This record gives sequence, structure tokens and C-alpha cells, in this order.
Amino acid sequence: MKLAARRGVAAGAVLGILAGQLVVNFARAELVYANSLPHYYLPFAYGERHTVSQGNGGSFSHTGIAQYAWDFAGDAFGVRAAREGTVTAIQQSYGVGGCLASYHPNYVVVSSIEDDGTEHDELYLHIAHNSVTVSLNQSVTRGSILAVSDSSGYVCPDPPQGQTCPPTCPAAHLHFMVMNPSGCAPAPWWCQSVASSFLDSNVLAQDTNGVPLVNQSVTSSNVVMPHCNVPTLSGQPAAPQNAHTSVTFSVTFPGGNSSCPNPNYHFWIQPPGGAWQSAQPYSATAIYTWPQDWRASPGPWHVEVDVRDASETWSYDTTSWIAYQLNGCSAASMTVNPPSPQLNANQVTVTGASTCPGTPTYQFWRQAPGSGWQIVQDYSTANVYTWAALFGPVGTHTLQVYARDQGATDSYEVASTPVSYQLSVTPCGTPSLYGSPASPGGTGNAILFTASTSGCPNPMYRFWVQAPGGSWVIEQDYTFSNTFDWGTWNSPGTQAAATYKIEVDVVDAAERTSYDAVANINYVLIGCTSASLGTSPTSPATKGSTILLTGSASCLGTPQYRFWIKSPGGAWVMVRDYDTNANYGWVSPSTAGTYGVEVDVRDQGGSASYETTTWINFVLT
Amino acid sequence: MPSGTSSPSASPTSTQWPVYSDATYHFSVSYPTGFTFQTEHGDPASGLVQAFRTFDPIYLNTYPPGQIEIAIYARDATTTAEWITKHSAPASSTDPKRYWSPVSNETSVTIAGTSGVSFDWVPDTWTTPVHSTAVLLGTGYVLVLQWWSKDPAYESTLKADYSQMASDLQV
Repeated sequence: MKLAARRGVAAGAVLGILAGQLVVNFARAELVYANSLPHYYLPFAYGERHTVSQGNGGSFSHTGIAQYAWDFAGDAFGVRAAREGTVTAIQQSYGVGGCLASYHPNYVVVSSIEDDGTEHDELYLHIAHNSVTVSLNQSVTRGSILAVSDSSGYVCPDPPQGQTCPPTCPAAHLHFMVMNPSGCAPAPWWCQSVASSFLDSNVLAQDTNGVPLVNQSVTSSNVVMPHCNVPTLSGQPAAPQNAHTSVTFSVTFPGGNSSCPNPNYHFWIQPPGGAWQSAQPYSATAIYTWPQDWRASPGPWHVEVDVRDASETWSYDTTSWIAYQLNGCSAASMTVNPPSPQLNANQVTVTGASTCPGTPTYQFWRQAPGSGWQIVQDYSTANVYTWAALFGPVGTHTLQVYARDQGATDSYEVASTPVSYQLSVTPCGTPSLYGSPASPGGTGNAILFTASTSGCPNPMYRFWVQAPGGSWVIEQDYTFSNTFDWGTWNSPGTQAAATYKIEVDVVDAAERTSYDAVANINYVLIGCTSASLGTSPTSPATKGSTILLTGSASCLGTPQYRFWIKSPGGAWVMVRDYDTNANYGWVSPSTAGTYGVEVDVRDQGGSASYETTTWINFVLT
Repeated sequence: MPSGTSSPSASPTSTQWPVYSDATYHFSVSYPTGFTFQTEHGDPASGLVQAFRTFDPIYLNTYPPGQIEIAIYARDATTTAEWITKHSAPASSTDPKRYWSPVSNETSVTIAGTSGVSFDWVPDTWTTPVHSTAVLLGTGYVLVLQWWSKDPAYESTLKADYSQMASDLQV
């Protein structure tokens, strides 16, 4: 019991002394102890005026425990905290009141700590059925609305209908008293009242001690504490709607909201299956428009509005929420053609289907063997994805289609059941390989190697070359081309005369193995040979005359000639670089002597400095 | 006012008291000559379906020093004693069907020719006991006839009136 637990506070002794002195001479005590009495404000709203229908010591019922109580006449006025404190007891279950012992009262008890540390309880009695706006253990500030006044419990007078009855029947009033929480009987919330006073200016104007008397009308100076009524929240257009529909939520107060002069609204939203999220923080705007990206997901949404006055800082006075259904795509399905499993499939057609409120869009996913899921065709209105299955890889693939309404931004609204698809392929047979021209070839030739294989539907070819003493080098990686142009492929003129090894690997495009089969051949490159050099005139010749030099050699391709001259005692000097012209007109110098004359020959396109050479002595006189 | 199907009448009794007959709950009771017999509200939330009080009319517009009351409750127990126990709870209880704190002086009595239980209880905000007698009213209701007085000088009068009403009660 909260009340019982709080008892035992030393406050009882203090109050005992105070109450004892006051009981001896009540009227005098008010004067003597006015400044030391617990101070409160009238328990109704600022500016409200109520008559004291029974004051302290009233003979009707304010005796004994209730000696220091006041009855404030009036029905259905807001009962407000006379002092800050904590709510420690609430009863609001009973429905009626009147002049009958069998009627039980509704009440709120607030526990307060005086400036000197003394604990007091304030009792607000006879409040209306289910009118309490605070909860147990809630802290309340002075002026906070607690409940609504009424006449629950034993309240007189209560004459028969039609007879005089001032001013309402039963005589509705708020019974207010400050209690010593250590003197309670028989109910734990019905405790010995203690003398107290009010600080309201109107009360003090009538009684400097702040103790209003019976039949006095007193006006409250209590804090104006606004309290917002329960709002009604509605969405426009009304639910259900298709996802992405523009929806505006607005707040109204069918029961009015006059006690909340500056209402502020805090909107919250809960996605389907998700947690509540703040959607629009407190502001004076009573309208919340659902953002595009927040209304994309179909399902049962919830929207809540919290309401408080602009002057309030606590979470809310009242709240209201509604459910709002958004409809989206449903029942996505997928078909594949041709059906799984397939051998040597070049193309698979995947078709999605879904029922959507608007235009469905589809996103296709595929998971290849040993790989993760990948989007193979992003969202579009196209419901067909053509899978180039010829690229495999062979093995088991999984296919799935997502669907969502056009304009949606959710990853998906509905997904099809994943479908497994088994791909397999016939391996490539051993290839054939030959060169053109056939071996041997000239060093300058462009040589075209051609391979072929059978069995596999989409063969791919890879070509290797190994020079004498060298390593195998991939000269042309896997492509669908079955030819390899050695000359043009790898820059003409780079091959030296030698015997080379050529290899082709074959594999199907759907396979990820290195190769299915290979083939090797030797290919011989031959350079020019048997160079010879002729002159006209022949040696000796007159110095300063022009000597025609003519080279020749044996070549598989087109020979090129380069000429050199060596002066007597001098070095070799190239007088003409490689050219297919076999002749060179040497204008001899005017110095007589024995000159060296040389010709170098190589195949056009050959990479060697020369493939064959010869020289002669030529005498000038 | 009494309900439309019931009304106080001046049927003479041995004491020449007026009699109130209730056709809804099927009972009749006399009340002191000159007293007001008044119908009160029921409280559906608590199971109190109808109530009545009779008192000296000089207290019509104030708190009476004492009065005699009749309360009709919904019956939700087999016996009167069980029913009393079922609706007894400490005053700290917030159960709307708590009618009284634990009762005292519980005694079996005969009233209206049938068995009943008399007991005392104290309302939550009172120190004065209420003296009650409960009797089953058919299968659906329980009638409680009770009196109380906060003025010791008024006690003997009310107690005698209560005894006469209990004697005249017919269910």
C-alpha cells in the first residue's frame, strides 16, 4: 500500500503539535498560525469562483477527521491541484452519489512535501465517475487538472425530483482537505485533516489568514494549467488506399478544446510490423502529410497524434491513433521457358506476374552456382527477362522476381517463390589446328591459324605460342573466334626465323573450366638466304663515277636490301636503309683506293637485323 | 420518486404506517408516518440496482442526523452470508463492487419470514456504524434494510422505526 508505506514520517509530530494548538482555540489559532499553516491555492481554475457550502468545522459533516475540510459548491468544474505533489490514490469507479450511506465516493489523493519537509496529503473528494486525468505516482504541478467535480458518494441534500434543491441535486461539491497521512481511519486515504490556508488573493482579501468561511464565494488565483481534450485523428482520403496514395492526416476536437488555448501536435507513425517513429515533432500544425517514401509499403500502418498545449513540456495531454491500411502488389509468380533442366540452352525466358493496385513493375534476380544473388534486370514494367543461358555457368541457378507498384520505393512489395534452374552443356571435342600459309612460312608473312571443334554448342578458342627455348604465351585469349592471325595480331615483323609451337584450347561458353580439349602444331619460320652483290661497272672503276650496286637473295617473302660502304682505313657507313629496291646507285668518292661494299637482306616484316649478308672489295682508281 | 410500477400507499398496517410496494423487485415495506420515502439512484457500476431512503422531512435540504435506507443489489452469490463476504474488502480496494469494509456483528436472523443476516459496517468516511440486515430477494436480488444515526439522541427512535419496518417487510 502506497499510503501505508509513507506513514511513519516524522511529520505527524509536527502536525500533532500544530493541530493540538488549533483544536484548543480554533479561531485564535488561525490568527496566530496563519503564516505557519500549510499553504495552498484553491483547487479550481484561475478566475473560477465557487461558494464555500461548508467550511472548517461545519456541523453537517466537517467534524472529527474532516474538521479542516472545505466544500466548494458546483458541478462539473475542473478539479485542479492545490499544490504540486505526487498522486498516491485514485478511486473513480463509482457511478452515483446522493444522501445514502451505501454510496461510495470517488477521489484523488496528492501527496505534497511542505517547505519544512512535512508530508501532507490533499484529498479531492466526490469527483465524477471515470473523470480522473492523472495516474498513480504521477507528479503534478500546481494547477494541473486532476478530475471533474461531481457528487459521488454520500452527498446531501438530495430531495426528491421536483422539489427545491440548491443549486444542483444532489448538492454537488468538491470536498477538499489537507491531511496528516499518519492518522487515517477507517479508509487508508481518509486521514486526519489539518489546518491549512489558501494564498489566493481573493481569499486573503476576505480573510487575511487565507481560511475561507462558509457561504463565502472565493475566486481562484491558481495557475492556469491548460489541458487538451482527446482529439480525433482522421486520414483523407479514408483508408484503405493503394500504397503511394497521397494521404493527409488531420486533427479535430469534436468535444471542443477550449481548455487548451495553444494546442501543439506531435505525429507518430508505425510501419507495418515496425516500431513507432516520430513523424512530425510538436508544432502548431494540426495536419500531417504522409511523405512519399513513408507510404510506399502496403500493409496496416498506424498513425498517432499526441496533443499538448504550447505551454506544456511533458509528453502529452492526450493522444489518439488510427489504423490506416495501404494496399500493394500481391501474389507474385514466375514461369521459365524452356523448363529446367536444360542441356545446351542458349536462352531462357523468365516471366513474372503479380496483381497490383496500379501498374506492376518487376525486378529479376538470379543466383549463379557458387555466387551471390544479383539483380539481372532492374525494376521496369517489363515482366519478361531473357536470360542468355549460353554463358552459363553450368550448374544450378536460382531465379526470383520481385514486384511492386509503379512509383513504389520499397525494395519490393511481394516476391515470387525462388525457382531452381539446372543448366548443363556438352563439352567441346578435340580441336583441329592449321596455319595458312602452311609451314614453313616466311618471317615476314602474316600467318592465319584456324581451329575447329565439335560437340559443344558455343565453343570458345584460346591460342598460345611458344618460341624456341621460351615459355608458352597466350597470344589470343578465349573468344568465339576460331582464327588467330599471328602476323597482324601480334605486330608484323616481330617473329624471327625459328620453329615455333602453336596451341589452341577449346571450351564451351557456359563452362568455367580452363579447357575441354587442346591441339598443338609446329610452325617453321624461314628468313632470306644466299645473299649476293653485283656491281656495274665491275671493280676497278674510275673514282667519282656512279657505281650501280645490285643485291639479291633467296626469300619466301619479299626481300629488303640495305647497303653499306667502307672507305679505305675507315668504318662501315650505311648508305641506304632497307628497301625492297635491290639497286643502289653509289656515287663514288674522288679518292682512289680499295672500298668495302656490303648488302644486307631480310624478309619484309622480318624482325632480325639481317637474315643474310655479303660484301666485296671495290677499287677506285 | 418511486418507479412507475411502484408507489407508496396508505395501506393500513398494525401501526397504521404507510406502505411502499415495489412491483419491480417484489417487496413491500412500511415506513413511519410523516416520514418521506424517497427513491434514489442505482449505481450500475457497482451492482447497486436501486435504493430508497426514508427520513424525517425536516432534513430534506440538509444532512440528516440519521435515516433508514433500503438498497437492492444484484444477487451474485448462493447465500446471503456468501454475498456479504464477497462484497467485503478493505477500504483501500478500488473494486467498485466493494460495498463495505469487513463487517462486524454478523448474525443470522429471520426477516420477512425468511432467513437473513444482520451485520454492522462503517462507511469509508464515517465513524458512525450502519446497522444492516440482508435478505435474498428472489433469485436475482438482495435487499438490504439498514439504519444509522450520527446523533445519539436520535438512535432509539430510528432503531425502533427500523425494527417495525423489518417486522412489516414482505418479500
